[in-house]
Amino acid sequence: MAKKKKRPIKKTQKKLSLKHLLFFIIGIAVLIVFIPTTALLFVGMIPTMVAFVVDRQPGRNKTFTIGVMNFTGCFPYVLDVWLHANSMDYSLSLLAQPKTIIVMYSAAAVGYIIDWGVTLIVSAILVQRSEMRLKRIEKEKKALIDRWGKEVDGLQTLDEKGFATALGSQQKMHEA
Amino acid sequence: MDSAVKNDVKQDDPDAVIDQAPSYDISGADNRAADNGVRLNKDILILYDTPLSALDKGDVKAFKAQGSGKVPVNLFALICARHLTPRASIANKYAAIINPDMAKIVASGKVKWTDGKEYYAFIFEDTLGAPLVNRSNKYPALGWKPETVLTNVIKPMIHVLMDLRDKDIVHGEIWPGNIFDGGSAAKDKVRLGECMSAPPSALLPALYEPIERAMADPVGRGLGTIEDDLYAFGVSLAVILRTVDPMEGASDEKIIASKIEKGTYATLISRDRFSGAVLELLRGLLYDDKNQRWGFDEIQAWMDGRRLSPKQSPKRIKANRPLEFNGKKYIRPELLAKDLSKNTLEAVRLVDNGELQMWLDRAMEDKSIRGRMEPTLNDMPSSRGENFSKKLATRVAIALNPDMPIDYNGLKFMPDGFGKLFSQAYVLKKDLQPFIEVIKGVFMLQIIRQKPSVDQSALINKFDSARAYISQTKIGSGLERCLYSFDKDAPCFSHVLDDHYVLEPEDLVRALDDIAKKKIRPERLLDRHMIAFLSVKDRKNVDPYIIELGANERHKQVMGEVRVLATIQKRSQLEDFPALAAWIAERFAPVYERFHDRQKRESLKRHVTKVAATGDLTRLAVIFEDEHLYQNDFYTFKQAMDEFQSLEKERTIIEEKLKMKKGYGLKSGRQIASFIALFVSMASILLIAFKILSSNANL
Repeated sequence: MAKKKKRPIKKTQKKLSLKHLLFFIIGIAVLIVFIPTTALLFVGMIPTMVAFVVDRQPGRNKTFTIGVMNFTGCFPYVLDVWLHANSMDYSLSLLAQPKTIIVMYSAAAVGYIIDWGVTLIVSAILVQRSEMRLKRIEKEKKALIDRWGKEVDGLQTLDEKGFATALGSQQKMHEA
Repeated sequence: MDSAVKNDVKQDDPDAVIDQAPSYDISGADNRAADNGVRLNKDILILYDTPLSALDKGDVKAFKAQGSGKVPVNLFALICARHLTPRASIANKYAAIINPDMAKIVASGKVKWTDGKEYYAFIFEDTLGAPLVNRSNKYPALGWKPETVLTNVIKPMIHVLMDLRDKDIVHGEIWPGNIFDGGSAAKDKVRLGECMSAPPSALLPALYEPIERAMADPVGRGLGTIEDDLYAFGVSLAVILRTVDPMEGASDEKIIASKIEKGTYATLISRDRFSGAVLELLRGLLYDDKNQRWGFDEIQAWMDGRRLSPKQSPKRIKANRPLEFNGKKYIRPELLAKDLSKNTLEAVRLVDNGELQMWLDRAMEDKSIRGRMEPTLNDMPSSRGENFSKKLATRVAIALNPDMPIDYNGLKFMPDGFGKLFSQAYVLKKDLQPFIEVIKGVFMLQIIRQKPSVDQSALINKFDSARAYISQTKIGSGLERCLYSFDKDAPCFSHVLDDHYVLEPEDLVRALDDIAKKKIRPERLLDRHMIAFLSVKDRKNVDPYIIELGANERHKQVMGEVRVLATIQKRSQLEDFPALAAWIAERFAPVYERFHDRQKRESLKRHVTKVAATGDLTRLAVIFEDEHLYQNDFYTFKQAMDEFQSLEKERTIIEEKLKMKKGYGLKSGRQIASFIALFVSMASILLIAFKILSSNANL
């Protein structure tokens, strides 16, 4: 039986490691081929890398937000590199310009702002909605009590017909 | 128009029964102010301002009445006293007798009197004239001539008595105060008065009763027999014929003692001498031994002219030496029996020291008394509880004279007279403790077994049942049940019905409808008295609901009440009772509370109000008969409970989340931020790419 269980695990593990290896090799190959772009992105996406390290939330939505905006800031320069020499020198010359870094990092900052702002707004909306829902719940509960009596809350000991009894020996209705 | 009339009056029909229309007009109007009287029904008006004192019978009062339509004009009414249960049940039989020499009944029923209360009334044709003697003159000596008596009294009265016998009616009030001259100065139209306005023999003076019955309380004498009527007739003849009352001024007790010592004839007649037919008749009717007393066969033979040889009365038992008791000496056991209750402790002493037994053994030749005394004394309990002496005295008295009334703790009654005495005591608010002791005491059963002349099994069953009822406190039992079991003619004694006279279940429903119209109403619709009354009168229709009526839960009581009344209304096909139905509807609050759904309650309330307006109690009761009504309510209630629980859970979850306000919505916010950033990024990238590529193209 143990042997049977082990076999599928071994197979998937083998499959996963091959896939990953393949991607890794392709990735390295791309990076080497497009090394000017890589160098540009490496420097330009530093805010994203920092966010990646800092962001511990599952899903890493903050990292994504900052990342996509950071990339947006890097994109014109990446396109410039592609359209011009696609050389390492050109990349480095772009990186040497302060304007490049400012644009790239400002875009990342916009990502931070979007993340902070939207989260704040959404949180406030959700809190308000929940508070309104609580009020509605109280209203509905009151309506139920008004229509069905206090016994509907299930907190009292009820007889078999659902009426409150002074004696405590009967089962609670909602347990029945 | 009047409410349901049970029978129509048909004057010429020999099988006619009287009009027993109830007194209340269905319109509820009191016509007193207009008519100077009170109406029994549309044809009979009782003139409350014209009393007829000559026709009064103690607490039963007579008033002039007027008839109209098919009813004769000249009438009189007898308004019955509330503490004397009238004999309404024999009215129909009485009315069926067609004999001009007796009071002719025209109608009976309840009437609302000037004090606002209902009383039972009997209406008769006013053809009686004046009584032969004033009622206060109980023991007259009229000195009529025998020939006159023979023609004017004996012949017509014998036929009246025969007619009563044929209808199985014991009259119980035959005496000159209730025999009338027919309005003729010559007294040749003698008429016998009525016998229904009070319990049997309750209004008859003791002189006219046989020895044993005379010892009882008048109301407790019981029904009696036709033979007792013949005795009373004989005594009546004697007092009409005699010129001297040898017992003038004597008390009833002395008269009874004289009858025991000398016999009735010798007590009544001393100096007067009668002969021939009259003497024979008197002797025959006045035998103290009822087995010797003349019956109708002998009377018929006498009327036919056949002369029967007078029988010698058997000698009353007499001891050959006296027994001293309570300072007096007794040689007659009947006299001793009569007086034992005067000193019950002395009676115990006589038994304990063996004096009584010795007297019976040695001084009395008659073995029958010894035969009765032995089991009586053997039956005595070894432990002497409360009232032992009184019980002993009673039992010993019965052993000495089984025909005498039961004499216990101030009560003197024949076994079948207990009920009427009990009812009277209840109405007059007398001490009921002696009655309760009689009912609870096993000694009553032992006494009844010693009385040969009564229907022992029926009486024993009655007292046995009563003993069971009185020890139960549940509704439908208790003292109230005993009252109505013993006196089936009694009206309902509930204080709620003080102004009403309720004889039948139908009367009760109508009375409650009347009460429903008043501002002040009792808390319960049917109290203990009413339920006990209905249990006796209408057992089949009431007993199925006894448990509900006696339940602790209000809603069960209310439903029990409406079901009982609805059953009566339907069974008797009574008219609608909107007022009563409205009152019942007001009491339905506990029934509505059996539904959880308040909206359902309101809708039921509206429906009940609508149905109540029709006055149909059956429809009202049926509203809550559908079991599905309750099941659906319960089912939807359970659903509501589930809904409440889920709301409660949701509330708890939201409150937990809100406790962490800081981090609340963080995840969702970031997700949305991601989407926004992606969108902005893609739009920006496209825009930038387009711009750059188009500027390059231009170049």
